[in-house]
Amino acid sequence: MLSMSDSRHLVTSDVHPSSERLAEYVDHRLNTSSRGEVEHHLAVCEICRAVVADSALFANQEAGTNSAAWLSGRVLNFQRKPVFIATAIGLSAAAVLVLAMRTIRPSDGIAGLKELKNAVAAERTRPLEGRLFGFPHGLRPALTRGGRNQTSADLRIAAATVERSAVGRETPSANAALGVAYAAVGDLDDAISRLEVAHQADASNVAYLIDLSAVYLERGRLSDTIGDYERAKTLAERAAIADPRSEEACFNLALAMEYLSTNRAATVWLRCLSLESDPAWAAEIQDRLSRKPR
Amino acid sequence: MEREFLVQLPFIERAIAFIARKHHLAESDAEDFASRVKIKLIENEYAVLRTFEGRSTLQTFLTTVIRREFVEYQRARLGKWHPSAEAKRGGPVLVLLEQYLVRDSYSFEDACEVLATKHGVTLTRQELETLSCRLPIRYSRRFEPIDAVTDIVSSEVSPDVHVANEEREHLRARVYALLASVRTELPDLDRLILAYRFEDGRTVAEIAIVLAVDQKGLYRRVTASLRKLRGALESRGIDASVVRDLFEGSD
Repeated sequence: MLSMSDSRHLVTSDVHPSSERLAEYVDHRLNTSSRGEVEHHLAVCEICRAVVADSALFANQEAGTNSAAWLSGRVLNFQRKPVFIATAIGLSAAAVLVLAMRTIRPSDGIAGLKELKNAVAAERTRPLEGRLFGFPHGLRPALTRGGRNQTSADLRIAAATVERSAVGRETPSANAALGVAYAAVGDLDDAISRLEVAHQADASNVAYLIDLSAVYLERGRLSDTIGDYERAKTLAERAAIADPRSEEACFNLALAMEYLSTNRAATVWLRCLSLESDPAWAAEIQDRLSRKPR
Repeated sequence: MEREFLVQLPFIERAIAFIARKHHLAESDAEDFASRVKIKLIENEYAVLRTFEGRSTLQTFLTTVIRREFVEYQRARLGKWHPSAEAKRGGPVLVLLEQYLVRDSYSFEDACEVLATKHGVTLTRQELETLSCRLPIRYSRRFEPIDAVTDIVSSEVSPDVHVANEEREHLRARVYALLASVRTELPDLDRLILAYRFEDGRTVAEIAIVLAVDQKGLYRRVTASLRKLRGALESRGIDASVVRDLFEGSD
């Protein structure tokens, strides 16, 4: 999906990239080599430069508006949670089921996911600083770049089990499971590729948005790439808007904003604290709040 | 497709308004542009929407389509206008000045007025006049009655000034050629950053948003690229004072 081998997206100085190609560039969906090809063209084409610049500036403005709406509770007012719950109870059973389907990671019979979760929980630290959907709390991973902790044999075996079960099954859930397994053992580029495919196939799945934002955050942290933080922020924001009660979405959004030195990071951490039901995660959020300037 | 279009319509209208506002379209032009975009999206049974393959977000795709349509709209409205190479090198103010003077045939006074009121240009009239001297002559040919021509004083300059001007033009051409050559040695991203900054006149803050890079780091990167360009020019015998003389003491 991200390959430049497809001649329809060929980028030269004479041929303008397609609108969707430029949109992929703006959305940071391209791999390094495809991104380089687009930049090669942009350096000499003022029309495409203007298209990219105005699109990115507008996206930035929209993201600011959405984020402000979410923070102010206009998307769903957190102060009025009981009203929301009462309304939700009033929904038909079928509608509730549809809502639930969007906020769980369907396993589709892929083996090893439970073992993977258990193996991650048994590790000395969690694999990513951000939160994967439905994974338990663990100590933060090492903050030094390039200093990833060694993964245990159990974790590698569990990841391999998921891989054996999911490879070749081109369903969103199989790609997402593979993405999570790769992320758990530190293979971040492959994790992103798989999760992006899952996300594109099922853009409304909050679990995929959360997992993808966590992996982008980790890659950004290890390589100090602002683009990865931006992408993580966008994805976490979408997850938070789609499911305003999601603790993981809020956590990843706050973390991305913190890395991007956004002033509102502290406000989002406070929001996370109000949502959090797990004491271990709540303690970590408290710790982050106490160490960060408000 | 119709349903998707209607769902996205509020977003489409916001994107249109953003582009119209950013490019200072008058209200009636903004309305024309909005109609044109909507027709473009609807025509041939939503052909544009059907080309979307889901590799980016739909909204970013729509924004790039709308922004591209703005290029076509401007071409249709104003003709296929391209600023001269000299105007582009001189930066966004010179490009605008050229547009008003040459493309729109404004008087110099009117052009200064529009630049100040519509585009917030703060340069003085004198500064704009100096800047305009760099523009190549692109006025259309105009026929005058013979009586009017006989009284016109010759505009021929003295041979000394003529030689000095020719030398300056020769040196300027050499500097531009060298700069173009040295720029190709920079990585694509640095060339892109310089193009955004100096050809398109975007602020560093804007470029940081567009490229999703850290603003402070971007300042350092621009400075480093300029240092490289300067070093390359100096190694070929062109130092800062030559370039300053070339552009400040022109004509």
